[in-house]
Amino acid sequence: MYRKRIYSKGFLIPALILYTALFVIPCLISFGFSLTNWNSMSANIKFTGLNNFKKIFSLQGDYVAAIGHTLLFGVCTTLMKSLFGLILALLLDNNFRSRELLRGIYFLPFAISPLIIGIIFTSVLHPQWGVLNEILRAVGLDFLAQNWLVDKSIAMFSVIGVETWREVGLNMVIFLAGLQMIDRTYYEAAEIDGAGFISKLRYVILPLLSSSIVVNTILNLIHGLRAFDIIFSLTGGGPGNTTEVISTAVFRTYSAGAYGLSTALNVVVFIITAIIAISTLKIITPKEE
Amino acid sequence: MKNRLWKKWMALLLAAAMTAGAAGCGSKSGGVSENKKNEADAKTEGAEAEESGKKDVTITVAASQSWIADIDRVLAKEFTEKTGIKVDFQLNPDDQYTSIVKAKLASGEGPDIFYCNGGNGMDEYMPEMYFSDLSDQPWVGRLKDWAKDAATYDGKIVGLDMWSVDGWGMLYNPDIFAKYNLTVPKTFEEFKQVCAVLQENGVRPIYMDGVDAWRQCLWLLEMTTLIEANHPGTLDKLNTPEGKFAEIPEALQATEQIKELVDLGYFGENFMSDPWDSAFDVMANGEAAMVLTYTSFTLELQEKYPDLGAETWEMFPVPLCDNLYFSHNNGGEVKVINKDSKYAEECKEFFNFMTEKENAQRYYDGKKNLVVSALVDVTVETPRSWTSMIENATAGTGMDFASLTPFYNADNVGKAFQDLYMGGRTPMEVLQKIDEDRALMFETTADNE
Repeated sequence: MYRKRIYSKGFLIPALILYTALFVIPCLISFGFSLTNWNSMSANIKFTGLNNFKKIFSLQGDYVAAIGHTLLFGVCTTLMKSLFGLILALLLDNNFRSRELLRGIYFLPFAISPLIIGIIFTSVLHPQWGVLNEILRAVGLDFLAQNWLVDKSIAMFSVIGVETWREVGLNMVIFLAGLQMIDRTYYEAAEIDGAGFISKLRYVILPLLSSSIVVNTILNLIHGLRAFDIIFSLTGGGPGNTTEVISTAVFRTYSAGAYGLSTALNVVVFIITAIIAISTLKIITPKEE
Repeated sequence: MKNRLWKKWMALLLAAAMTAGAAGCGSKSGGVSENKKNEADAKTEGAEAEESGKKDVTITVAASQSWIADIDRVLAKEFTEKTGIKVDFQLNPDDQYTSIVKAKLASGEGPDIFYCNGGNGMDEYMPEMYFSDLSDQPWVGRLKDWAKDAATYDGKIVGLDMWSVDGWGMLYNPDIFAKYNLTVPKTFEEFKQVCAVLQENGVRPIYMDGVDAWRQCLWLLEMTTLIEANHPGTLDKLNTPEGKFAEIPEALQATEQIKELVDLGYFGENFMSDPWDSAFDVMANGEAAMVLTYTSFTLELQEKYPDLGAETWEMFPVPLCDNLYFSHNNGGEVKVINKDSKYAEECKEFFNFMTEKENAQRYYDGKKNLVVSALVDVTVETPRSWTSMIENATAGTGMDFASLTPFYNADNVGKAFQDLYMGGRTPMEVLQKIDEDRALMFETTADNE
């Protein structure tokens, strides 16, 4: 079927060369550096085997905790972004006057720099004069006013909340695209068969949205597992190490001058991201005939 | 099947690409070059400069953004007018500066001149590889001893220290102290009594911003001279992997007392959400009575609030462990010339210009945060905050951990203290954490020799 295609495989070569030179080779080099004691204090680099990985997995739980936080952040943001993205998409798939405007508004946060969002939300979530607590107090919900970014038990969830708010628009757009591909006759057929909203969602919408779900889940997982800017600008990984994820730990370790160790941490992110992304892809991709 | 395998590999490569993207340190993207916009003009000027015997050269100067003031730019402009050599300041955010410069040096794209912390702060830039020997420069003889010490590596002068000695202590609002008949505390008990009176009267005793991790390392930093006085040789020991903060009784006591201040609410209810930038406003409007700060803070405060009278405000040493010593840094920022620079001679010319007596005097007059001059023939009007600090530090003065002790990493130490405030670590665990982080760096660097 594809034998008569216009372009030969040769056209792939320029892209592959660039991709290999700019991504694959640096990645391989970084794997090499993760096995060394490369640091800012000396020009000599010495091979130290798996020492850096031993440090990561043994140091009083600091890096291990960061790995745990990364997984928590990745999974929670993936679930929340997908869920709220789907709800918004379902609502905005209907015909009503302000539909286009609302789509734009919900997508807007994704177009703003995460650093700016971080700075804005640092003010919004301030316990004393932050807008959120002010509103809660104004409507008599004082007990819900919290130290959003400072309380150890809440800080991580506040950051997850902000990240969800930021990226829910992207999820919504991908789901909307998927929803618009669904032929309306399926809905009509289901309605004739007496299906309500839940049945339509379960038997028509979700199965036909599977490719959008796969795309969103994989993108959300990858974004979540390597999140840096939003966490760095909101909490800097703090207070203490409460919101420290691997990427912020990489930055801190690199800044301290332990380049080899920070590269090893990057390798850990890579392995975790690759394993989770590939397994998720395998589990949720519809079986090909 | 083949198709699925291809998909898997593509997913793997994509994940790798994204990870690599996240890890990139962006050595080229971090800085703000002030001269780029004038490149076209510069070329024309350059041609004119050559005709008039001046050099058509641009030297790059990398610095953290808060280190460069208007007077730096004014003097650089005059230098250009005199010699034709243009000066391009490449500024980076304070918390990323070191990483960016180190990455640039490592990639062979280092600036011609760059700033770095003096003393052992220079070590992290590999002086043997990147610092030019400036021992024979004409201005060296005019440097004060501390300025020479700050810029000395391996017995050679490797930089120009035109900064100032400064340190951290308690700045207080004298009007508030007078209103409640408070005097400068000399012991920790007296300090707590002062705080209690202030708190009872609705004044926040101490403005301490909890958001910025680096700020939290300062309390312990100010114990350096006391610790060395009580246990001579401790600082030497801390230069080796055997030296442990957890074994220093005063370090533990100071940490316990910081926690006590937090628990008593003397830092304020929401101090963990307060940023350092707000210190000026909070002190100026009388919301807080004291702040842990550097002596030149009053000059900046005066500039922001000219009617406040901050020039008369006084300071006293951090009174944890009944401390009466003032520990200061070893001379602030040092300018060094990159050994790989093509324009080393032009950079030396720039240093000569900056150190000319008249220019150096204007530099110090224009730099509000410098309280002591590094050059013997240049005078600085010392603020009351500095002189009062020296008067109140009746036990003496000395250098701090940051200047003397390797791997006293402000961010890591600060994060351990943030954990302490929130009950995540005990005072002993805080010190053990500092020791662990230092041990990691000692271990990482040990194999190089």
